[in-house]
Amino acid sequence: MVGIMLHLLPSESLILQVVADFAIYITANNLPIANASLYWDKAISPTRAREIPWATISGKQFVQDSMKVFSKIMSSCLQGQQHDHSPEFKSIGREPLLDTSTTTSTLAESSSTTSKSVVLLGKGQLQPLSYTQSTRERSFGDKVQEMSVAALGYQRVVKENRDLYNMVQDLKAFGTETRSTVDHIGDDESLVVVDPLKPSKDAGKFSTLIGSLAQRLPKLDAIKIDSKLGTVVMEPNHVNVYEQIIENTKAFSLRTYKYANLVLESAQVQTAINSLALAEAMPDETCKGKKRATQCEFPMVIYFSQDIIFEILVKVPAKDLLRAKVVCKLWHSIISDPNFVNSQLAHSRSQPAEIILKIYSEELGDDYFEMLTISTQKHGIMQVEKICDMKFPSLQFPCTVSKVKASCNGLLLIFHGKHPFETLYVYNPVTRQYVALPFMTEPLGMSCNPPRCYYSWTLFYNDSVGKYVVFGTFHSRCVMLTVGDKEWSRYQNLYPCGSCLAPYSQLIYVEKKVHWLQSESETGCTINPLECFHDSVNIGATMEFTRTILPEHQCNGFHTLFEAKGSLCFASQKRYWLQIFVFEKREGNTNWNKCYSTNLESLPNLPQPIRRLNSYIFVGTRGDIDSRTTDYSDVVKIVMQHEDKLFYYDLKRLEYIALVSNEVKLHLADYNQVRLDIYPLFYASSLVKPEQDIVIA
Amino acid sequence: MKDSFNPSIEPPKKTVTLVSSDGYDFEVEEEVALESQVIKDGFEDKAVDDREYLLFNVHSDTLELIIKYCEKHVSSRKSISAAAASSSSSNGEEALKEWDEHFISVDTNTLYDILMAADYLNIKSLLDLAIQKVADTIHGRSPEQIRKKFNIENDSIIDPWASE
Repeated sequence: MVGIMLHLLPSESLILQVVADFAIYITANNLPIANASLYWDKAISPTRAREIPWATISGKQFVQDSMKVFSKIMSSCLQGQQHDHSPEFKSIGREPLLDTSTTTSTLAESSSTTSKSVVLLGKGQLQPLSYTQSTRERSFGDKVQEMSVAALGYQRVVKENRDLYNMVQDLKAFGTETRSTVDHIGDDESLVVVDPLKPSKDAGKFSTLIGSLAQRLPKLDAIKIDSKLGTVVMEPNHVNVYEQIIENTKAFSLRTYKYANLVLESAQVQTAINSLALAEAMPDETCKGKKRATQCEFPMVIYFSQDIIFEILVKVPAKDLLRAKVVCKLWHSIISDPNFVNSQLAHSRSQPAEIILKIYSEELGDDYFEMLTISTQKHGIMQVEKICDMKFPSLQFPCTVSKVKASCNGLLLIFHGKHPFETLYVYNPVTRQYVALPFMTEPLGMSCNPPRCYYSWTLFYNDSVGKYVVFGTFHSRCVMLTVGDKEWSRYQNLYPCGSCLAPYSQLIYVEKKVHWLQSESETGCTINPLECFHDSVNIGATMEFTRTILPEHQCNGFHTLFEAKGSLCFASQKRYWLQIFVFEKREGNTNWNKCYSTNLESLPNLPQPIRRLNSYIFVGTRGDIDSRTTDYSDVVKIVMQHEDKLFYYDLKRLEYIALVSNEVKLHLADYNQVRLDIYPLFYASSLVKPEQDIVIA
Repeated sequence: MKDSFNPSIEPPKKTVTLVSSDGYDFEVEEEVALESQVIKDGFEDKAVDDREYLLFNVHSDTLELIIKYCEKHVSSRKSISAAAASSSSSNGEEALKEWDEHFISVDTNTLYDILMAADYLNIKSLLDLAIQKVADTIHGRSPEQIRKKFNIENDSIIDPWASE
């Protein structure tokens, strides 16, 4: 779209408000003014400051060859050959530039999103209402004359473009979705503006409207609004054109109103302006998809600064951001920014934890499954949201053998396949980007290594390296891989191992150590507290192993490790007793301290069948919330599984919520063979790339 | 100077006059006005006598709402701290959250005005509230719905979701 603004100095305020892609200053012939160069600097400084490409045309030659020059400029615009890297300086004319500047015309090519709004077209009848500087008054008459000549010249070019434009608009009416502001330009310079909120398919009908205007009756109002079609027809030479624009656009779009108001304000400030033209030319198709260095302008910008849009988008869930990304170029550039991804992640992590579920059914096919998350929203309402449905990239094995092993910053570690072809994927279910980790080819003489599916795995962000790390352990062996590397690191006999058991808890990465629970008993289910340990490996050059004894607790029950408020927590539950310990530093020693203990039977509102359950899952939120309080009741969530039903118990509100969501219900009802896997993992949706380096402030 | 050594004498409530962009005067208590970081900063710099603030960007309709919000937050903060001092359990914070929720449930244009005013006056809690509310409107909407909602024109990015 090419917007043309024809007005006199001072021009700053207008240029500052209308973000143009391109500005051309057309100046008249030499003017005998003392400090002309100063004015010139003043005139171009806004474009210069905003790095808008600009050019100047000056001198008599312009007047003579105005049409030629203009065609040249406009055709170059239309071909999308505008210069991305500014400023561009172009001087045509024999006389030096610096002494002509009081009459300036700005031709602004704004992006196609500009202003669904004010369209005024000048006839070159420049009638300045007042002029502030008396020194210029003498030459003013001449300037006006020159301006009119220039304007007339450009009218001819505009006419050409108008015809072209109308042709394009007619073509566009068939099918394409691209919308433009001005739908038809009449011969009498009246413009038809379609309400941008309405489909523009019936743009062809406007010819009838134009016809009625062709006679240009003197009584015709400056603006006609056709409410049925949602169109506005403006007649630019009407006296009260500003007022009418304001009045009429107010009803039809608030932002348009704002925009019009803006123009009116600037018009009042610069009383010299009596004509302002903004026409639309053919949107350059060649620019599509090509990144422009210049800034886009949006109606929303008038309301919200880019910072505020950033702040708004940070608070939007990652899944919605993927859709918001295609809303417009500005949003796309904001959401693609790595800083934004990190800010969004930080916000997502401060939200209540989500639990990952996997639903799959043989009816849907072996290679298909869906992943859901459950989170608590306002007022304790559980929300179940599908984060992805997924067909695995490798169809070698059915997805039923794939398992979510770990979750970190919105990434999932997924184990897929069977020995000896198992593969690990680091997968972002929101963006569907994934990295297949390299196979673990065994060195010679180590073929007796256990299959990887026996290993326990974790995925964490190693902030000293700035990369994601996958860690697995089994039977005194450890394997580790920094995502993006080709080779796995192996560590043998890292720790004493009496039994052949894998860790019986999740691996939890807290404070540069990977923690897990290890039993030395041959029969894993009856855990003797003396045979049960909390092990950890320091991630670093040394890979130092430490083992501590678990606190005195009710053994022979359900144990788990989890992270809450940035600390390692241990929960034990046997029959009705639930105890939670936190591993923290007190009086110089890091030890287990009891932070919560309750008799589940004494808890009110707990439904009867749940009391007999043995399966409890604890999910802690991250430590970003308020780490000073010692109250863990609001960060520890108890999720109880009973057959295929899930229950959530809120320790703070002493209420339970059965997880009944339409989405889950639908799946459970529709398919007979639905299986539901629940992973006691913390999940925070994000747009993090599996291989991206991130910085968490 | 004597007063500052005698805390038992409570000074009379000081007021500040806020002038909206359309020229209406609003007289508010000083501590209510100080919810705004901008006014607070200006307050520290200015002479004591100058108690009038011209808010060029805030319309009287919006300013009225902003003042309502600040008054509510000042008063409920007092009652929460009083409840904490007397160690009586209160759900003041939750009640305030509900009040906020109700307060921000306004039509889109008012919401935008509040957001802009909160940004201009730098009232962080209100800005967060308004931003969250706007962010919520994006949730679950298609790109086309978002464009309609925010009056954004599709500037020719190829829309991979268009087929949906």
